[in-house]
Amino acid sequence: MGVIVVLDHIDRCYSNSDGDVIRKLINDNLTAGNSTEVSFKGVDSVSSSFINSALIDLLETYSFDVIKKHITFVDSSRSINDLIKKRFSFEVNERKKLISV
Amino acid sequence: MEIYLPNKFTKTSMYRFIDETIDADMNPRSNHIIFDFTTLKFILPVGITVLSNLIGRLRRNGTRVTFKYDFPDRSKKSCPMAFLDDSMFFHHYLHETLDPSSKLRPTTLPLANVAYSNSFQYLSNAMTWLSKKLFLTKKSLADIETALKEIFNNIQDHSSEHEGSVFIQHYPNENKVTLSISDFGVGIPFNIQKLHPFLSDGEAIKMAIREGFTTKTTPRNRGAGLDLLLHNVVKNNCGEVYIHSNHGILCCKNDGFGNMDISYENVEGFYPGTLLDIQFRTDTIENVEEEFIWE
Repeated sequence: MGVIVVLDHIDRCYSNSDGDVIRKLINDNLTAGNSTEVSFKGVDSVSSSFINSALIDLLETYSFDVIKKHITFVDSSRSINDLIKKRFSFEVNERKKLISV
Repeated sequence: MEIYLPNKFTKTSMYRFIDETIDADMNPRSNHIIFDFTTLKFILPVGITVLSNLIGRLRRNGTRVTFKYDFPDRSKKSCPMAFLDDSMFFHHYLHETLDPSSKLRPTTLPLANVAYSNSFQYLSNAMTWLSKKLFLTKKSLADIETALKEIFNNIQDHSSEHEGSVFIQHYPNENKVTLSISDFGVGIPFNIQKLHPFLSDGEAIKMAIREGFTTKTTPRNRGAGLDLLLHNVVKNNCGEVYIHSNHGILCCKNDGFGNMDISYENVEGFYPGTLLDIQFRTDTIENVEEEFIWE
């Protein structure tokens, strides 16, 4: 299991480019066949831009089932957890609509 | 050219004041504008933000801006000049307060012109200030901080100005905080009507808040920001959000049952950019530790 403490790699969870850094680290882990634990230790809040780039963009490469199976989050909060789940819920449903059409 | 401030500087009276100052193309109506504060009886945070945006626009256009005012009268219970001076408004522009005894009130976070590059630090400092006022941890304010991050990311992604004027006022007796933030850019409807030209300005703002809707002003946009702002402030916090942009106004309140009640209208007045007037409650904030579980 690979552990990524986000603030070890970026100063803040704010912009798309902040998210890009984390997504690449997660992707490296997944490519190597490792599950990933993402730690938000020291992070008070995140933005949707960060979550979109760090996590949602993974849907371009991996299915949601793979993401759920191999990525988990620790040291987070209700606010961060809700945002992650809200974004995934919306984007995964949107993808299902596209497939249905 | 002398322009009188409204008696009551509110979200309603601001339109006429803006129109007197700049024309429809955002050009100053004079190369020297004197803002006359002697008519002012009352000013809300939104008025301070709008005034700041206007002064910034005038100065960038090379307009000379001067103030005409009465000295703050602290014998009056609610002297708007005392409020402005204590809010460091005059210090912001004149580099000194009008009254040497003026001092920042504990309930005010003074006017700031915040560029995106400084916005993260500004928000962190604002949340530190607020957490101390409310005897809460910064983590408890995560929903609010996230909502404000969305606003600055929106300014960065969609506005031509990339800078917002922000003013924050705490009302402890009312258990609320009012935050007013504005940028003078093209406005939300302008960008949306490029794709949907038949929408009114109010309809355009309503479309903008829909989760997933984006004009892709920047390629990475996924249309999550405004929806998340309303979700956090209105649904979670039971606060209120007003968005004024061009001729449109959108209001979002909690209906008392945890749902968002959204209404919009089109007005004759024109807001040259986007103004967000946010009221969030301080008595509904709770610190919730939670482990992450995929549903």
